[in-house]
Amino acid sequence: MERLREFAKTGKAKETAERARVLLDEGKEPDSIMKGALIPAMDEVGDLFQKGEYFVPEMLVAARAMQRGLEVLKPMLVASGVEPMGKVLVGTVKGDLHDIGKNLVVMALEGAGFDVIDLGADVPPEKFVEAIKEHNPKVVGLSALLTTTMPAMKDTVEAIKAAGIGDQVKIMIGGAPLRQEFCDEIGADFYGPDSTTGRNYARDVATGEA
Amino acid sequence: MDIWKDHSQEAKKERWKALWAMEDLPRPLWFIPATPVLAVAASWLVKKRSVTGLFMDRDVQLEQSLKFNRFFGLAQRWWSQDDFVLHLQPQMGVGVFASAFGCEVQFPLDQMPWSRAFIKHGDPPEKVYELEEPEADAGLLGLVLEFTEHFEKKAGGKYPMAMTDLQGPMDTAYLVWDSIDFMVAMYDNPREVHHLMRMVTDLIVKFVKKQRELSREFVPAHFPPVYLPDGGGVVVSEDALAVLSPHLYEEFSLPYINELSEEFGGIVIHSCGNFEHQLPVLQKVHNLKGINFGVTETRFEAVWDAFGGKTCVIPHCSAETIVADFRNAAEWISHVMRRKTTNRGLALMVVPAVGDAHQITLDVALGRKTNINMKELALMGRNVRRLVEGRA
Repeated sequence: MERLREFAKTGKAKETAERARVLLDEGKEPDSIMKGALIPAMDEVGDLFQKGEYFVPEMLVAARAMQRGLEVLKPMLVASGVEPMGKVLVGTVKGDLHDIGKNLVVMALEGAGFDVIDLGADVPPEKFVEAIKEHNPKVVGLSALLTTTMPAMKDTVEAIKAAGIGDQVKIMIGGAPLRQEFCDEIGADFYGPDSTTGRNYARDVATGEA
Repeated sequence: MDIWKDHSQEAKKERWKALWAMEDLPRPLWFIPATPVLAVAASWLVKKRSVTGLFMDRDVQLEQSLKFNRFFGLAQRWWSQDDFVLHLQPQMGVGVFASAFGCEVQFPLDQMPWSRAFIKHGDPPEKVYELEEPEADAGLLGLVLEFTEHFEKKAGGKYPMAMTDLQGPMDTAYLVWDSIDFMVAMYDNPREVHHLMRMVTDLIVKFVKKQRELSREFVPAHFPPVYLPDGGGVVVSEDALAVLSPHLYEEFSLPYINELSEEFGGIVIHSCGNFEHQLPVLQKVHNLKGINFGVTETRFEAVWDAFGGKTCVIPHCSAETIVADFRNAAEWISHVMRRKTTNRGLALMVVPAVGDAHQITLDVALGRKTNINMKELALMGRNVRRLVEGRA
C-alpha cells in the first residue's frame, strides 16, 4: 500500500495502475486500497500544494496517476456496491474560459472519492440549474478567474435560488479574484481559496459536518 | 532642467533612465498605469459596450488613445505629477503571438479578447511538430504592425510607441497548447515543450525587431507600462512563474528568457500570482533589469530582500481596495517607504480601482465604478505623491 501511495503522490501513472492491480491480485479489498492508499496520497498532495512544495504541474500528474489507479479499482468498487462520497457539480461561470482552477478542484474531488459532474467552462446560469435538477448533487462549485465574470457568479447563485433548489445544494465558489466578502455578498455558502479547501468543504458537506 | 522639478514628458523619461541605471534617486518613482487602450476597454466593458472596434479598428484605437492621453496628461500636470510617460500602444490583447501559430482569437461583445489553443486538450503532443514557423506578421501580428505604422503616421511621433502585449515564451506557449496538457507534457514530453518554446522565442525576437523598425521612439515595454528606452531591455509577462515549480521553470523557461535578455539588452519580468518560490531561480536570469509583481500576492519585502538596490523592483497595488495585510494603498506605500533601504531601482505602480483582481468589491465587479474617473485619479495621484515624497 505504501508503494502505491508513493507512486500516486509522485505522479507515476503507469506504476500506480500496475501496483493497484497487484494489490487486487493479492486479495486486498478495492475499498481499502482506495481509502488506504489513493485518497491519503491525494490528501498529501493537497497538503504539499498548500505548503508550497507542490505546484500545479505536480498536482496534475498526481491526479492523473490517481485516476489511473481508480480506473483499475472502479469495476470492483461498483461490483462490491461501494458508494461514492456523493455528487459534486462544477463549472466555470458564463463568459469565462479559464479552467485550470476548476480542473484542479475536479481532480481533488475525484481523488477524494466524489462522483464529479464537470460542466466545463463558460457555463450559463440556466445550465447549472438544469444540471442540479438532473443530477441532484450535494455541492455545486462555481469558478471564475476574471473580475469581469464575477457578476456571472452572482447571477448563477441567484438563478439557483430563484429555481427553488437553493436549499438542496451547497454552493461553493473559488477563483483568484474572489474573497470571503464577495462570497457573503452574493449569498454563496462557501469560499475556497484553493482546491484542497474546496475538497475539504465538500467532504464536510457529504459527512454532514457542514 | 531639474528632472525632479520639471513635469514635462522629457523630464519623466530622464527619471526613468536614472532608475534603470540604478542611480541613487531623491525619491522612488511612482506611476499610475495608464495604458490607454486597456483603460478605455475596462471603462467600456463596465458600461456593457463592445470593445471589438476599440481593439480591431485602427482609427478608433488611435482616437481613443489620443483622447485618453490628453485627459490623463492634464490630470498628471495639475494633480498627480506622477512619473508615467504618455505613449501609444497598438493593443489587441494577450493572444496576438498565439494567433501567429494559428490560434483563434475572439473578441466577444462583453469581454476582453480571448484565444483558443491550437493544440487542444487530449491532442497528441506530437501535434507541436505540425506548427509552422511563423513570420513576424503572421496572424494578428500583421495587424499590430499595421496599427504601429498608422499611429506613427497620424500622431506624427508625438508619443513614444510602446510594444504590443508581449506574453513571454512560456505564457504564449500556454495559449498555443492547452495549458493543462502543456504542464503535464513538461513531465512526459519535454522535447515537444522545448520545441514550442524555441518557436515562440524566435517569433518574439523577429516581431519585436519589426515593431521597433516601424517606430520612431520604440519603448519595449507593455506591462508594467514603464518607460524603458530602446536597447535597455524588453518587458515580458511571465505569469507561469506563479504556477510552476522552480525546477520546471528553470528547465523550460529560463533558457529562453535569457536569450531574450541577451538579444534586447536586458529583461524586465512581470508576473501576477505569488512567485516568491521562484526568487532564487530569478537570480539566474541574465541581466535582469526589473521585476514587477502584485503586492496582494507576492510580498514586497520578499522581493526587496532578494533584489532591492540590485535590480529595479516595481511592485503594484490597487489604490482603492485592501492591499494584502494593509487597510489601503496609503498604509502600504508608507510601509514600503519604511521598509526600503534605498531609492535605487524602486518604482511604485498604483492601479486605480478596477485592476486589483484580488480585493475587488461587489461594486467594482458589477461595474458601478470605472477605472478612468479623472477626478478620482487626480485626487488619488495627489495623495500618493505626498506619501512617496514623504510629505504626508
